[in-house]
Amino acid sequence: MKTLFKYVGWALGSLAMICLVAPLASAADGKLNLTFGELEKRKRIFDDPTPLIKTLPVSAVLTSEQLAKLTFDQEAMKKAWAEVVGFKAPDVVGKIAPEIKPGTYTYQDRDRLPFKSLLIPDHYNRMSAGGPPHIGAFAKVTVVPTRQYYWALPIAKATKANAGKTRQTDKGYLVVDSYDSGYPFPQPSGPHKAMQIMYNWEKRYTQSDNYLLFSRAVGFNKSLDIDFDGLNLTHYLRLQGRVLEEPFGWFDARAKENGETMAIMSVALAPRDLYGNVVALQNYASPDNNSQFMIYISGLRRARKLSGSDTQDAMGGQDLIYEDGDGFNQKISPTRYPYKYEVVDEREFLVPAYTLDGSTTMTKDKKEFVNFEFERRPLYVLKLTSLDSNFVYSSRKIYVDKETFIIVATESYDRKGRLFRTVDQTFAFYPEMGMMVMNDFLAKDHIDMHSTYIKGFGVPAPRLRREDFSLQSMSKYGK
Amino acid sequence: MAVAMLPAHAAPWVTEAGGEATVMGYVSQGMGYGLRDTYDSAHGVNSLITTVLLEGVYKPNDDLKFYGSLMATGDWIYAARANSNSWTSRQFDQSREFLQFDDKYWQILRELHVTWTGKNSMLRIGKQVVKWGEMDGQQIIDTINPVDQRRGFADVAFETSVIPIWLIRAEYYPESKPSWLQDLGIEYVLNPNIDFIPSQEGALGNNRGSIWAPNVPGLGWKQINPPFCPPGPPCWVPGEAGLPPFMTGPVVQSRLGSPTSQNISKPSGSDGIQHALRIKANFGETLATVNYFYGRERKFVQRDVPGTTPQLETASDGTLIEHHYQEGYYPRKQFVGFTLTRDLTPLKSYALGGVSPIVRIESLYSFNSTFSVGRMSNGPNAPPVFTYDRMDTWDTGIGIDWGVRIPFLNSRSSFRISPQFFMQRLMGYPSDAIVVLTPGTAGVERNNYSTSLFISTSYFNDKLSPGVFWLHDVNNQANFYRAQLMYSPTALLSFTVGGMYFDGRERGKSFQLFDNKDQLFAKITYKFD
Repeated sequence: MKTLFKYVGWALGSLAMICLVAPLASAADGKLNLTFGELEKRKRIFDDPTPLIKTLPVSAVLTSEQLAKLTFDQEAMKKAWAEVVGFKAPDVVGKIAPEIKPGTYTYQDRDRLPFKSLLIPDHYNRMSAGGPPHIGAFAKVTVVPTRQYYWALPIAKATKANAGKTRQTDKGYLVVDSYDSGYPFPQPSGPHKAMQIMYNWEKRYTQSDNYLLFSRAVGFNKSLDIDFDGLNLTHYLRLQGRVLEEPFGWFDARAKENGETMAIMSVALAPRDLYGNVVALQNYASPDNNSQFMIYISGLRRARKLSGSDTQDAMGGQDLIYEDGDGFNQKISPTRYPYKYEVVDEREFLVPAYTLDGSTTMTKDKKEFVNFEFERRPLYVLKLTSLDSNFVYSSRKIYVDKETFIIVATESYDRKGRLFRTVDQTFAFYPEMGMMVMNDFLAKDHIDMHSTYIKGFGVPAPRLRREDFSLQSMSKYGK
Repeated sequence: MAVAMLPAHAAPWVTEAGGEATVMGYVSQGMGYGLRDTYDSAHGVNSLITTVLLEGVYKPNDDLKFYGSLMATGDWIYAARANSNSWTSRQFDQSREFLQFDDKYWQILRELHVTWTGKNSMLRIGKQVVKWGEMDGQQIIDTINPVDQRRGFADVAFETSVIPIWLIRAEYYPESKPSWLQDLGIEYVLNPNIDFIPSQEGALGNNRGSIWAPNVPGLGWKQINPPFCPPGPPCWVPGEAGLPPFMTGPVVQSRLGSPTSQNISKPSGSDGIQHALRIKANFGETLATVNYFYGRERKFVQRDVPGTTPQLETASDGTLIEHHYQEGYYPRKQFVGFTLTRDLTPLKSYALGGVSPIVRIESLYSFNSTFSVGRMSNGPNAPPVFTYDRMDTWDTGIGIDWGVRIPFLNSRSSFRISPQFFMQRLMGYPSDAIVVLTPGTAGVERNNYSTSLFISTSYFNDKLSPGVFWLHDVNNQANFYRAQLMYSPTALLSFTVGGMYFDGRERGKSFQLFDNKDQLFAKITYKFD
């Protein structure tokens, strides 16, 4: 016992010395040091309609100076974006099933009114009383008038300034050097329209140039019992086409030289087996360069390299593969699992609205989605047919918002043509910033009858640096 | 620290001081079932190991982190088979003192460290694990932490097989570097030898090593007949002793048992200080390190005390058990090495799923490593005489991780295929040696080769995970096979069943020592966070 005290004493003495020299400023400029514990305190995952975006505004975590750089005149943003895309959403909807007007409907109205003609098939099926085998039923639907959404003014300006400059090859693939910043194809058209839509998604400005995303992923088996409960803190750093936070354009000389487009580092904090696992990812502009993956496996206390082409297995018991991340995370490539891209429909749908207050939640008993507003949105429906029979999916159907270029839902079919996985996501919209932030994400496996619900809360993180995506950071966050 | 809120799930607690605290861990209950009924094995249930691990993390701010873990391990087989004749007659019950409970402070207090992260630097102080290697299963460059192999091949989880020790680890990441270099880091690890914690080897003798005691054949002995042996205790001579047949009885087989005495000296004070340096870089599709180590082996070299003869004991199966007088120490170790891991894009095959294999290589050149070398110096009928010899060694391992799609076996998930190849070459291997024992007392030749193969996949949304492992000792034509099936209905609960099989062509070598240890196992683990 004496020996034990000796060593514990040695350790504690060392700790005390470190405490003395360590900077103890936990939050920038007295602002809230946002943590999972803090978020959990403010909004629970079940039965909690707290409007988190209102009760935990961005101003709580950013300094006034940081916030000022990301806030713009709303009317100017609306005007600029309408010019960029050539329309306002409220002006182009209301033609299908006009008898469905703003108001509240229950699942019993589903077949009484022509919801089938207005809803995406998966949403139509989910307009029902909650219950197995999948979560996310919409037992009650509140239809709200269609709103105009827009992106931040610098995004609109960059998109406008670069309109027509981004080129495609004769097969539709992006000429990498021709893209500068903004959305590359604000008004998709021509023979490669479908690919242009997908490139708009690839170059998306969701969240910000630098941001942190706190996400909690909960998995449910076909009895709707929880079988997975994970926490992830993900750091994002946009390296190309930066327009919101300095440095603008390329993040640094290295990014420009290597054609690096995005650095991501995701830290797992739960469940226990994954605690301290850190995945670092780097994306490249060139369609020939795979993303670079590295993982710090806390259970083994070591960093390992992963193959950037190893993207077809479900991630940690969830219902999505890497390629399903954010709805569609696949590299658009002529050589690596290429697709035939088609726009198969272009019309309005009634879809979950971008939330303005973050009050969406899920009931604990039946796992129904509540406080989800629905609005009519003009969408592109794309069909991507896999040209490589070795890819896990034979085809994918993707629903993309025409005004925001946001992917609303994805259906993926297995090699036998069966519906395999679906994803749908609802972003939070910050009107004063012209920013979309991931809020609710539902992934379902229709063969194994499993669901994963991810609740996200993203905040801009102007202070992120290269070092936050390095081996050093992996050591820092790992066990 | 007062806790302001206790969430019902994994989210860390928010403390009143504004930091975050997390508590997690697991409880597991394992069971082994021996398939053989020989003196060195226990047929039926032969282990009932309970492990409880409790971990805590406290982060007062983003730059500072405290981590600690406590572990309790106990084997209830000693209580369960206390009245079993086959258990006690083979002396397994006598290993209770060594293996029933892990009660040393460093076994209970696994890790306790604090990490401070600055802009370009990191410092971690305390009882911790530093892993450097790239290979799975066999360690080459991973020499900083000792390992615990007392419970054999049944309990090989990270927490139960790697022993954290008191270290100071500092890392520095220079800001200025060429743009082709994504990461550059320099890591220095100092072991101030506050407490020398050695590797815990599987021990000889059922009364020490229990069911995992290797079955090492002894010399074989002949009893001298009266009147050539004076009245009193029986007189034995080595089986090869050239006495006339009328003087002795037949050769009685023997095996090595626990030592009569084992004097292994530990380095103390500055003699046991260790320095380790690693430079790591990430460039292109490659992660590479250069490593240097100067310190002590964590496994001892040993030999019979010169001039002593073993004590003999008759085992319940009529064979003899040799109890030797042994001595040893933890020799110096110094090496330079490197690791490298990268994508092998040219080997990518779309017919196999289009995933590039990852190659992992680690290699070290060790200077003046110490071996226990046995030589025939007193004629063919006498036991070998052991001396400590020094020679350089070159160790290399190459492994590949490949995710391969085999749709007719699993249309949903890849098969993870990981072959590995290991090589050890002893430079200046003594030509007159009859046996050369490494620290850890494994017999080696001039060139030693082994291979391993691990294949796994998963079904039903990762709930069912089968896996097979095969380790092949090329020199000795010996094999270790392990197959297991894990069912995880939730991320916090898992059930594992499996089996292990050993064989070897040459008696007394490699996995042949475990030839009678074939067994089935099961384990249930509940994790909490």
